[in-house]
Amino acid sequence: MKLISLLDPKLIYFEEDDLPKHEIYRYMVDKICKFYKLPQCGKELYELILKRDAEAPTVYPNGLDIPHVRLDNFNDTLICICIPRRPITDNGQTIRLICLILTDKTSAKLYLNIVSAIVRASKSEDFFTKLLNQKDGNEVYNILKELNLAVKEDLTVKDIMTVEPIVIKETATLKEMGDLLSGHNITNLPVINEAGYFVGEVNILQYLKVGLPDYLMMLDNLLFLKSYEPFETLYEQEEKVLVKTIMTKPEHVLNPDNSIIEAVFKMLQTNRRFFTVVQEGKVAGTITAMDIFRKVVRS
Amino acid sequence: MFAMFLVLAIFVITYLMIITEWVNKMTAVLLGGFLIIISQIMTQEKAFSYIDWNVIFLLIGMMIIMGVFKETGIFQYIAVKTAKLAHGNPVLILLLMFAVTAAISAILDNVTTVIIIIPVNLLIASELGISPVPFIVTEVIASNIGGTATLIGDPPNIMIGSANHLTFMDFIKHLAPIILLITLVGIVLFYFLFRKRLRVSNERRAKIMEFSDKNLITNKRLLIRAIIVMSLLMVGFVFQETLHLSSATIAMTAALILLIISDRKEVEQIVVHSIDWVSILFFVGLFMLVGGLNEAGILGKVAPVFVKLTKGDFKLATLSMVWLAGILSSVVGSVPLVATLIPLLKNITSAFPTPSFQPMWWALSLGSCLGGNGTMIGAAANIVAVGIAKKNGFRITFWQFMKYSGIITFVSLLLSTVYLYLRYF
Repeated sequence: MKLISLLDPKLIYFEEDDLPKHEIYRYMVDKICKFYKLPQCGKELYELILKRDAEAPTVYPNGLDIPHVRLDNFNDTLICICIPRRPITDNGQTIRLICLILTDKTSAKLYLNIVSAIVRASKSEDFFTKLLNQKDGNEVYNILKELNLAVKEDLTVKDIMTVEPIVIKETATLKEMGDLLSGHNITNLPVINEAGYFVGEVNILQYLKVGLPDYLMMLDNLLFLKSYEPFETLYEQEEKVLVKTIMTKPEHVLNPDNSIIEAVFKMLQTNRRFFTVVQEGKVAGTITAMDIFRKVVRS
Repeated sequence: MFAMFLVLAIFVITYLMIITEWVNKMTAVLLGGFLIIISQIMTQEKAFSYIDWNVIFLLIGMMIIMGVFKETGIFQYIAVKTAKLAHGNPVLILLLMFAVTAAISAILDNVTTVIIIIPVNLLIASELGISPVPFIVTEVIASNIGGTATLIGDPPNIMIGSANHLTFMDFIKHLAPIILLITLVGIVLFYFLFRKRLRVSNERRAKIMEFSDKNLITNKRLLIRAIIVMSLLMVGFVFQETLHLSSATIAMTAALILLIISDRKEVEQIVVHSIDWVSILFFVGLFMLVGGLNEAGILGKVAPVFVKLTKGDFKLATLSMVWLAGILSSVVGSVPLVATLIPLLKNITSAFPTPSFQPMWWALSLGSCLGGNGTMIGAAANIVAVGIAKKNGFRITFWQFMKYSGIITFVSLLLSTVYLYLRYF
């Protein structure tokens, strides 16, 4: 979600006069109540803000003041921004930006995310300079739009994928492949060529299949076969067969910027639990259903 | 005149596509059929009227029944049991498999038979440590021979039977005796061909005897039901004439009953996977295409040539049909050939002063079905079998195939000729 989507240009303005903090609050309340119908308004709302302010200080060291009030039966989030033309001083603290946030009593999470987004942005001095260079609320609104501040970063594949995963060259032998699988306790490997580009995937089933001739796969079942030793072929072939002869070029790979839901969707759609994450033709990482389960669902 | 050339061109190009497989066979015949409609030589209604629905539904019915049978594991049971019965002796396995394949093929279409039998034999050959090629080639041959014996064994028979209202029992009475003889001769022939070549150690034989035949039937309940329905089907076929029912009605009824009494969840599975819709559409297209040939008057022009060449002698015409169909079917394939020859021959029934034209149909059946053995590409079963072998690392060349199949094809066509001569003339 973008911060800009929660803002209303009508509630952003510059304070040209040198007013004390409380006066600014009162003016902000008037502005909000002019445009919005709230369960508590006017003096009532103003007193709530003062009460909250007395309980705990709302000013951050870099001059950011974020007063916050939770209203009953509100079901919305309102943000009013006031930028004093000249910094004001309150209790020895400098205030350069006041950001009044009204929320419902239940939406604590969104509030915290909004605060952290604004705090994050205000960490650069550039941010204040930019804001002060504007003429009015509309221009500030446009600047904030350009900054493209996200209230909450959506998780993407790159956040939970395994970076620098174990890969195998297409010219490697099955023996080397087997060593990698057992050495790292994994079942799937992305395959790269000499130049380092992604060319396919191999998995443990493709490896085992080398031991099983094609005609066996055509039978209805192998219940009658007790003493067959398919892995004799596998041992013979291990040093000779190259990875590129058994690998598959998957139709589906993921991109680092794909969302988690897209990754889960593709896993379900293709019935595969492993995906190579490819960026510009190279392996950027790997992601498994277990990664999503552990790092997202059960995090 | 122009229409005639146009249809002929469409027909020839389509058949070239079938032979060379440049374009998928089904796509080629359907396109050929619709092109004839587009060129205004016959209406769509007319083209559709050439589709022999008795053939289509008989094929569908049999495919459903066999789809259910395959689920039961019965065919794999038969194959494994046969190998054990032969005590792992390769020559004996080969000969028994020849007989078993011919028998299965008499009720199952040839391609399905081959797909079931050959993988088991590849396993057997691998366990015995010998080349599977002799097994593969002889089983394909057996399948083509066995299929000739019955109405439902091979698609050309289905088409011939349907076009001439020949019943299941007609085929048994007229074709089964000679096919039985050819099978026996084949067994003797292959015995002498292979008896010295296939030798294995006792240790290898013991491996075959290790096969367990306990769990091979995967669905006993379904098998019992399938056997009951199959018996009903056979009863229906035997009394077909008394019942005044066409083969498709009998087969479809049996198939639908079987679908109802088998697991209901599997119905869609069977209808989607067991019915070879590509083949069904191939037949549809073929009927339309050959219909166009008939509408354009081409068959009416070619037929008298055949009469002239045989000097109006029915005996000569019938006996030469065995060889003509035999040679041509190993080039174009038996199904397209028979589809064309049926309307052609129907054009000339009156040209011969004979009380019964029936021997000609038996000649066509024997020639086209047995002729399929002539080359590696003569019948669909051959192509499929060679494909399976290749996928498992055994290349069978054109000449290698012919080395085994050539002699048996020649002998079987010769025996057929003699049989027809002795029985009908």
